[in-house]
Amino acid sequence: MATDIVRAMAQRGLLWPVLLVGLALVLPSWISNAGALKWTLWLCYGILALSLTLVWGVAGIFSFGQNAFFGIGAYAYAVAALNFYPSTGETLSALLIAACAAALFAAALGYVMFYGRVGDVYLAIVTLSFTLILYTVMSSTAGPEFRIGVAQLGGFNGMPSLPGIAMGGTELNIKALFAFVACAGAALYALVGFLVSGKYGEVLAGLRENETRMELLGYDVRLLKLLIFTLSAALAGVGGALFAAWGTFVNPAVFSLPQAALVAIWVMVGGRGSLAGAFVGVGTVQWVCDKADAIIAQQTPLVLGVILLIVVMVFPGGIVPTLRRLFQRISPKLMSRTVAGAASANDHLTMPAALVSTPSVRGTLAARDVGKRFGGVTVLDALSIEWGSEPIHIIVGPNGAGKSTLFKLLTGQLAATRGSIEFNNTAITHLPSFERARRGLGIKLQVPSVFLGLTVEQNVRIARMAPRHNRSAKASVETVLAAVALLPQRQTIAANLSHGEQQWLEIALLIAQNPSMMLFDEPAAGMTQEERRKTVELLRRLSEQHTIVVVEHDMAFVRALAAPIVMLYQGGIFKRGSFDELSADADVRAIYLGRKRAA
Amino acid sequence: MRMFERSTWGANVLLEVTDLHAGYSAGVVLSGLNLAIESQCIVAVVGRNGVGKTTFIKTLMGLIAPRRGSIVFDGRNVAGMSPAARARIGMAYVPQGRRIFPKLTALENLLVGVKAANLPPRAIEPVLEQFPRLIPKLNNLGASLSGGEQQLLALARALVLQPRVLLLDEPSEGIQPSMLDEIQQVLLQAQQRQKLSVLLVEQNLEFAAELANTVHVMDSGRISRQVEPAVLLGSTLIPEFLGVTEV
Amino acid sequence: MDTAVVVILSALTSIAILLLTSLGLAVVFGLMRIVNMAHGEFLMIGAFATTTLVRSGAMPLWMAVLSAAAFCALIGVVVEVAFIRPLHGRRLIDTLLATFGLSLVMYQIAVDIFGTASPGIDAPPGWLQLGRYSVSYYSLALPFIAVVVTLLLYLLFKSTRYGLLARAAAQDAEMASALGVEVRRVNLYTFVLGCALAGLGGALLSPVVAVSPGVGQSYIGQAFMTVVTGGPAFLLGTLSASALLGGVANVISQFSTNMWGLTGLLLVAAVLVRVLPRGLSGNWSRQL
Repeated sequence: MATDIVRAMAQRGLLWPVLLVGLALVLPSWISNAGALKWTLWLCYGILALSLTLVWGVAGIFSFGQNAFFGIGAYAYAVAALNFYPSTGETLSALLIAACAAALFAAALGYVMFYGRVGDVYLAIVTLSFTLILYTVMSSTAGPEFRIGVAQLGGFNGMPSLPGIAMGGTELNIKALFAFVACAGAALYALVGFLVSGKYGEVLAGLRENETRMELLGYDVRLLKLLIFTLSAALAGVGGALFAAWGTFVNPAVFSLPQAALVAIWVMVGGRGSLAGAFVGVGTVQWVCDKADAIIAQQTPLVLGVILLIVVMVFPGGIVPTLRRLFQRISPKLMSRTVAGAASANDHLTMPAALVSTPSVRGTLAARDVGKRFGGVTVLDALSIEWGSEPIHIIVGPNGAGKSTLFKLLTGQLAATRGSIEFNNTAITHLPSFERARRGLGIKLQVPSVFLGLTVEQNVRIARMAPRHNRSAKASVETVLAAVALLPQRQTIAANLSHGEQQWLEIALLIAQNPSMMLFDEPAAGMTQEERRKTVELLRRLSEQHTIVVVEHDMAFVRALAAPIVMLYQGGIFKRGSFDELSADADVRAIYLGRKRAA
Repeated sequence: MRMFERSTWGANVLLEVTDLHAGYSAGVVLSGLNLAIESQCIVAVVGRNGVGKTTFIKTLMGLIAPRRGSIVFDGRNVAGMSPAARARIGMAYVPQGRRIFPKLTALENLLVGVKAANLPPRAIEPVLEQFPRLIPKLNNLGASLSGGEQQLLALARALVLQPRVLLLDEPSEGIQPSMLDEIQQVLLQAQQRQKLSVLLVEQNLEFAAELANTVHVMDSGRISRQVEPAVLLGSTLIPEFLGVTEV
Repeated sequence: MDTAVVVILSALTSIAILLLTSLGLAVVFGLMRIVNMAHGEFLMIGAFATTTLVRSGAMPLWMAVLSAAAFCALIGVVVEVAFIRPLHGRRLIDTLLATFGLSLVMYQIAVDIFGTASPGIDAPPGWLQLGRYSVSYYSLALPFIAVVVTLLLYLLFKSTRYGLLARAAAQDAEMASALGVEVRRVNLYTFVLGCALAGLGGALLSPVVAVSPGVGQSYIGQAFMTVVTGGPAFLLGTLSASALLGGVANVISQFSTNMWGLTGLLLVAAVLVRVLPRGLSGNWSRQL
């Protein structure tokens, strides 16, 4: 009974917060003031580590900026507390201001980075440079002209004699501060735990697992990243404010390079994916540093550097997860979350009668005079095609004919050098992929693009939650999975599915979106004969409610689909017609088999 | 016993692949591929999309590590050698999609292999004579060349290495018909002049038929049979390649 | 009039310093896609090596500068073989974090050897008198040295065997290896070149800044920003970015304070990243 409650709480991410609060209430009477001080500091650091876990471990954005936001929080707290405490007698408002200030800086920096779509390494560099430049900037604020209200910024020496956490005119003593910080840490932990366990957590996991797929489902990846980045900065800001209140001082060292490394080390040691790991990492690393300091005094950077090197080179997954795996190997019974085997029963692809709800309108898509050049190479030249008059349309052509380029122009992954693209009679030529998806364009890529680290069911749920412009009905997860015969594997991690099953899972994501039009890029690529046959059946079935455009290379597959074909060649339209018409055409046969003189 | 067999009829064999297994991620794999290429022969391997042709040629060049099997070139097993080492002993590669260095000039593209082999820059001259079309473009960036020019450049880039075997992956892909003739001629000329063996992986049956001395059909990661080049021009294989016979 | 000349000269010196401290980073990142977080420590080692050699009276400044670069190159060999090569094929973040660890270790070793502050060396004597102002010859020489170094690098990449192979390997490593290029060796040379350039930068800086174990850290943030805003053309892009960022930061600092100069640099870089996410040279067709 008791164990059940513990397990339920653990699942909701509430176990640690409750433990922490308990600790906060019980411990102060047991420990010395020095101990309380040390533990308070570790908790402040833990909050900082938690913020990196959220942004990096959960959402997959590596940021070196967390200690910048920690520092901004600390400085903002200092300025606000010095200015307001004398009149208000409390510093909780300063705590709030610290969170807001950190969030504000993060929003500005994040806007630049995410809307500029800088790559992940650039992101690390930009956030780090931001931190280091803040270090230099804050170090050069020594003059008397650098004051905000009554608060002197103090340059390299920083700001001393800050009020601690205070309520009703009195500052908390050391033990009360410990209890307060522990409760704050617990609350923030619970907040983050709530975020990552519910449906938001699935969206964040999707962001980490496969950004492209998120975009093709209709999520605005830039906005999502900005939000999570800003939120995590607010967390770090609170951590920084508590840090300033703990030490009653703040100086530019919070922005220093070793400090930036420290945050990454904590999280790497604790394991990127685990929220508790953030606190465990802080505890472990700080304990090791303290011990090392007792042996060789004042060599902390050396110790940290060595820890970082060892973790990266030897334990890239983090120390806690590595130990956990080791533990699981020793006692396999404890492996509660065994992944269902890859061998699966997919021999029957049954089609339920009511597959999905009917879209409000069968989509139409048109490319008008579309062209694309790469450097000196013209891949597509003034192409005009309309789709939507038939349930299925097929685009074929030999390698290099421009099929994939056309597909990418339609999906928004590439920008056309000329011409326009219209979807349901509105121009979408310049819209990003996610806007096209929201308008009802479902996109299936050639290499299966699913969330490999998540279960089949989670994959579909993320697709169902994707924002759309029309509020047409959504099929249930069960219906969608039944349609592609993956219902028995709903708990399987997508990475463990066979290649063909991954292809179907991606199709399931499209079904869950309920688009008016579905684009397929070589859906039969890498499939066995049997899988191909089933895919044909599935596409036919889907075409009863959705317009389908298939770009395909495999002629057997094309033939089985029995739909009108447009054949591309040398970047233009070469022939239109049915499969039989095309295959009887001497020129088409010649080109498709590479008779060079045919053209 | 097997060793003995090989050495008796293999006097003329330049490149011999035995029981080759390879693959990466899901999908394309080689499973027990056998093929021998005699010196100064043009051998074509044809097959539908996705049967493993590109994996095969990349494994030959050392860009994909084989899981099993041997690749014997000129009497040595090269299966464990790096791509660069294979290039040094006379294997040259013309990849699918050409992979011209986009931000190097055409001339620099040619010089990469020459300099890597520590040959003098003038080593490109005899090869360049066979590519008059490239000469006015030598100072243009790779990215600015047309598809056909890039294909010629990729060929020339391989030929300047003075290779003994040329591994060609779909040289006809996406090329104007008019250019195909030129590519064919250049290839035949070079093959005769430099006494090359050529392994040609192709989907373009006519292109393959006109060049090759022998043609092998590849299916599901292995060579399924050998046919006469003329057969490619006839009608028996075409339905199979069009996919009319299946599903 | 004098003021204008002095402002311009001072800006040129700042730009030169930014360029000299960024080039090594730019070469390694541009050709290997590796963020060398220990770059700042290589700057620091170059600076300490120079001050130590000059103060011991072993050699004149110019010789000490070259020796410092060579010393950094040697350390670079060890670092590449021991830490960079084993991480080949891993995520870019991993090399970044590993070199970060290395930078902390190098920093602490420098503290243990030299202490937190150390006596510097004098710049070569000589002043140019401009009305009320005087400008040292050395700070006038820095822009010329920076330009010469950049030109030499340009020639190295444009017309030597290594340069061609390195550029080819950077564009398509697999294809380069199939043409006979030993990509691993080329990458070793590139990394070592980057370290030597960092050493050179630090060495040239040593007469004009306070040399301390933390000296690299105070330049590396700007160097990173310069490389990011410079974009893929790692020589001319970095040159342009140095000119823009260094110029802006210096001119603002001269009229207000260093803090506002850096803030200005950060803002200009932010605007650039937003408008040209691939850097100043993002749409150039050149590689250098």
